Amino acid sequence: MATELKAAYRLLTERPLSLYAAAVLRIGYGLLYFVMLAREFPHRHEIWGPQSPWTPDLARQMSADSGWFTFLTLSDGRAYFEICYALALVIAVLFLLGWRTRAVSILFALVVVAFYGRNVLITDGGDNLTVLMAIYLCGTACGRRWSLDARRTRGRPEQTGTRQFAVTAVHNCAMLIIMAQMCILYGAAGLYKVQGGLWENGTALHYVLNSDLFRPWPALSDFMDGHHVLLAIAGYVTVLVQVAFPFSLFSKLKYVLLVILIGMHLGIAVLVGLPMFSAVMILGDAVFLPDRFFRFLAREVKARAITGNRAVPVR
Amino acid sequence: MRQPIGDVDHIEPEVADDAAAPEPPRPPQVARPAFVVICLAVTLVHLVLVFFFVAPANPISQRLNGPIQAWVSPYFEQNWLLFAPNPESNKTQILARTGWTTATGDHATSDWFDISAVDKAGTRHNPYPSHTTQNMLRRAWSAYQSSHPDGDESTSDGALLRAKYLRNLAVQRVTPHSPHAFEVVQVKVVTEPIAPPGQSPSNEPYTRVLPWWTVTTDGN
Repeated sequence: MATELKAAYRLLTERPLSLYAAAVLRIGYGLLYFVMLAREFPHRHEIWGPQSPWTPDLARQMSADSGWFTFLTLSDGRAYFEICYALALVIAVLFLLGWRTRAVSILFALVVVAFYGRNVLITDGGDNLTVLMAIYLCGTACGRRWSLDARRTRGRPEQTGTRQFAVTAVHNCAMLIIMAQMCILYGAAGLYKVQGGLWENGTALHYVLNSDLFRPWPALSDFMDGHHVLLAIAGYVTVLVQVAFPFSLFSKLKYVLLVILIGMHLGIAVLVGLPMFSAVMILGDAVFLPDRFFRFLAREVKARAITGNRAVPVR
Repeated sequence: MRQPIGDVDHIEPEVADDAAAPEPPRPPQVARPAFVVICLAVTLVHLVLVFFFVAPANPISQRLNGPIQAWVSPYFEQNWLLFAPNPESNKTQILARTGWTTATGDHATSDWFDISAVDKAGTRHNPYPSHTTQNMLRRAWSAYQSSHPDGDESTSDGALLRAKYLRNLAVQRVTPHSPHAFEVVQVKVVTEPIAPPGQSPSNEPYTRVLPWWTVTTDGN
């Protein structure tokens, strides 16, 4: 027992774990947020601006009730809003590049929280997960790999000491929280579906495919809708995989389930027309991939780039 | 592959602490373990409270209601009910019309205009529809519906906010199509069940007509 405790203590404090996964989350969520802001740029006034049908006053009353802080309602001026929007775009880019990551991660979380709180009634599960991830990532050392910070500090001796000890412990706890959060997400999504009659009788996907706002490719949706048995199987697999996911984490089974979940989300992205939601979820799954996988990927990419550019075999 | 210096992945765990400087007085050996225990405790408490926030109401979540609300709300609030417990099994059409007083003092109204059609058109053949298309009116209506379960009287502040939002949205979408400047707006919602696979719809469409709402200049 004592040795196990010691081993757990060392695991938690020896070194920051999953630094590449943390970097992937940082780059991914920074990029996705930038893409979202760019995509909604033509609609920004309608969604978050002073002229939105969800007026600043309505948002302020909602915030007063919920306690949600958003700097977007501090002024009703158009110029203020445009400046905030521009800053949000810049901060998303700085975050994905990993420049002064700790400070920028806090700014990024403030931005994500502010836009979410300005208009909660337009959000979906993807926005919800983005808020949680932005907050959790503040606790991680997500700027240690694949970042401008890493480039700047290359060659300097590794920091040690009390501060480093604290950073490591907090990072490892934050990564643990992110993993557990994904488990809570999938567990809840699965268990709530179990309660639904349409998931029970295997027809749920028929209704999804027939929802006007979630069928960007009507011919494809109708084609899929013609295969009742396959849809029933897909529906059952969805529920089973979601419920089983948290229990698979301690075995290799998790890789099989991750592949199915990613496939499921790719399906949602295209068929249901929710690419941003799907990307946010798939990225969350990346926290479960080991660093050796990301290093392998990086080596492959590098090797390809070199052989591609100069036709020189690597090693 | 060699890691560059400064990469912690292969750092030896036992090499610790600021060795270079002449030994400063070391903090007592309990400080670090105590810090780790606090971190772990916060982590576990967070996860337990989030779990019971997400889980359906049960005796534990009822007993922990105070701490759960205090800790989880608002920033860790979460909802993973997309397509659960059941996907939406109705098609919803939302219409609006406008009303004004004529020069002779009579009341006039416009025809009904489908303010949800633009969303359906905006989704079609669009690989990445905007939130304004997929979520705005859809969620405005579902928020109104759930906050007004027994009629159109707003019985709470939250319900009133949602009614004003739906009104503003209707005004925004119907304005370009109103034949006349208007003082009041009305919304009606036609809900039609999606037929089960291979069957014809079992129920007739249901129409809910909301009261006339007075339009305000600032939307409040």
